[in-house]
Amino acid sequence: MKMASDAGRVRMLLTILMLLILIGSFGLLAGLVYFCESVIEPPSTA
Amino acid sequence: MTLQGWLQVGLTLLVGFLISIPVGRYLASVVMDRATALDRLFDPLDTCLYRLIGRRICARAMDWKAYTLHMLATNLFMAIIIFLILVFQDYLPLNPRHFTGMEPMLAFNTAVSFITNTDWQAYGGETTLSNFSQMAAITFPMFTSATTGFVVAMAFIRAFTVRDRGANLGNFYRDLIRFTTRVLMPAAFVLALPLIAQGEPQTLAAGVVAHTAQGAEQSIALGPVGSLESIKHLGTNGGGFFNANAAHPFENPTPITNLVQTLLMIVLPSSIVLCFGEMIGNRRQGWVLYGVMAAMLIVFLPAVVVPEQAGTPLLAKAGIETAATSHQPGGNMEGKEVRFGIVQSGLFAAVTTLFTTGSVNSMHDSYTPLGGMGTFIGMMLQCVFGGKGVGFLAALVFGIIGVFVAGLMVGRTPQFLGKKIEKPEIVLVALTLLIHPLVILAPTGWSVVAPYGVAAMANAAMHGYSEVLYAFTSSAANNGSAFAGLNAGTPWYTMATAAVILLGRYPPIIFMMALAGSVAAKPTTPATAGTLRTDTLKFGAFWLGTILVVGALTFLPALVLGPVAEFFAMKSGLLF
Repeated sequence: MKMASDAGRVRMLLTILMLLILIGSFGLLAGLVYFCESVIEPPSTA
Repeated sequence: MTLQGWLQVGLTLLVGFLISIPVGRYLASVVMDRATALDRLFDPLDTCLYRLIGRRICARAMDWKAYTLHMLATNLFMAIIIFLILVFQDYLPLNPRHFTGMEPMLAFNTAVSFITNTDWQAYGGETTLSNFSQMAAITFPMFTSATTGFVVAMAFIRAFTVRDRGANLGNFYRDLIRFTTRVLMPAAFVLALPLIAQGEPQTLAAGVVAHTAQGAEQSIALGPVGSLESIKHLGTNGGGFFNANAAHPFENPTPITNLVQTLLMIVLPSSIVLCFGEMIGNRRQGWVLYGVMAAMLIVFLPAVVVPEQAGTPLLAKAGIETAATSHQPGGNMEGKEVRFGIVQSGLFAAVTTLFTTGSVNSMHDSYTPLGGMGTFIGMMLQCVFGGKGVGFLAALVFGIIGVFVAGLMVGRTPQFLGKKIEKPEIVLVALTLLIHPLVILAPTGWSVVAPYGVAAMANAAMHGYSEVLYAFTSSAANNGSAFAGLNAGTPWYTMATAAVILLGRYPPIIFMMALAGSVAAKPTTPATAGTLRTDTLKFGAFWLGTILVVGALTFLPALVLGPVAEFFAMKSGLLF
C-alpha cells in the first residue's frame, strides 16, 4: 500500500516537473523573440 | 527497376503535381480573404470561434512579434491540455480497454511531439492510448500543428507584400481558424470517407477478440482510425493509431489507400509554393521555386526506391532471387508489406521523408544502406517540398543565401522580392540554417559515446549509429518517423528527442518571423536593370546549387559515418 502511494507521489511530482519544463521551454522561446527583436535594426527615420 | 515500377512512381508524382495547381490557387484565396465556396457553410462557425477566443483579439492587426507570441502562447496552452489528457486518461471517458495514464516523461515527449507536427511516437498507440486520447490528444493537434506551420509561412509571405512597414502581417487566430475551417476540416472529413470505405475502422468500440488456428485468443484493437488517417497525411503529421503505423492493415488496408495517402502527403506542401506565387503577385517566382523543389524530388526519390529494388549482393549470395519477375518482387523485401511490394514501399518512404510527414508503411531500419540513406536526405535538407509551411520557409532561407552570395559575386545589391537583404536578415538566416544541424549532430555525437545512449541501440557499429542519427534527424525536421531498432523509450532518448523537437520547430520559426518583421519594415525597391532577378531559370539553378552545396557540406560527413560506411562494409560481407 505504502509503495503504491509512494509511486503515486513520484508520478505526481514528475507530472508537475514536466509541466514546469514545458512552460519554461516556451518561456525561453518567448525570450528568443525579444532577442530577435534586438537583432533587427530599427528602421532609419532619416 | 521495372518499367511498371517507374510508371507507378512517375504517375503518382504527376497526379500529385496536377492536384497542387488548383489547390495552390484555392489556398491563396483562403489566405488573401477572398470569397470561397465554403464561406456560407463555415462563416457561422468562424463567428462562434471568434467570439470564443475574443472578437477584439481576432480583429487585431499583428506585427511579427505579436503574431509569434500569440502562436507560442496558443501552442503552449494546447500542449498543456494534451499533456494533462495523456497523464490522466484513466480518469477520462472513452477508455474501454481501461488504460492507465501515460508516464509523465513519455506524455511530455508526446505532447511536444504532436503540438509541433512531429508525431514522433515513443509508445505503441493501440496498447497505450484510450479512444479519447487518440481523438483529443493525437488527432486534434494534427489539425492545429499543421495549421500553425501553414499560417506562419503565410504571415512570412505577407511581409513581402504589405505596405504598412510590417504593422499588419495578419491575425494569428483568424488565419488559424480560416485555414482549419476552409481547408483541413472539410478536406479531412471528405477524404476520411473513402479510406473508411476501403476498410479502415471508425468506431469507439474497444476491439474484437479473434480465436487463432492454434486455439489461442487474440485481442485486435479498433478505434477511430479513419478520421485520424486523413488528417495524418493531409497535414503531413504522420503519427499512427497503431504502432506499425501505415504498415498496419487497419491504417492502410489496400493499394488504393496507399495511393491516396501518398498523394495526401504531396498535395499541401507542393500547393503552398504555388500559393506563394499567387500571394506575391508573381506566379513565375512560385514556379521557379516549385521547379527547384521538383528537380530535387525527381533526383532524391529514386535514391530510396532504386537500391531497394536492386537488393544487395549478400541477398543474391544467399540464393535469393533479386530480379523482379511476374512471380515475385525481387530486391530487398525485408521489412516491407507483401501487399505493397518494393516500389509502393520505397515511394511511400521517400515521400514521407521528403515531404516530412513521418508516416511509414515499411520499416526503414530494414532498408539497404543506400536506400536507408535516401530517407535521411529529405529530413536533412527539409526543403524538397518539406512539411507544409516550414519546408517552404527552409527553401526561402536558401534562396536568401543564394541572393546574398550571388549579389556579392556580381556586385549587385542583394535584394529578394524587392526587399534589400542586409546584416540583420543574414544574421537571422544564418541562425535558422545553423540550428538544424546543431540539434541533429550534437545529440547524435553525445548518444553514440554515452553508455546510456549506446545501450538503447539494437544494432552495432554503423547501423546502430544510423538509428541514432535518424532519430535526431527525424525529431529536428519535425518528421517523426523512426528508423526503428532504437529503444526511444529510455529517459535519455525521451527527453533528448523532446528537446530536439522543440528546438527544431520553434527557433527557426521565430528567426523567420523576425526576418519577416525586418523586411516588412523596409520599403519595396522597384526592380531595375541592375537588380538580380530571382524569378528566372538561371537563379533557380543557383538556388538549387546553394541548397545542394550547403546541405552536402553540412550533412555528408555524418552520412559517411553511417549508411555510406555500412554500404562499403556490406560489399565486403560485413553486416551489423
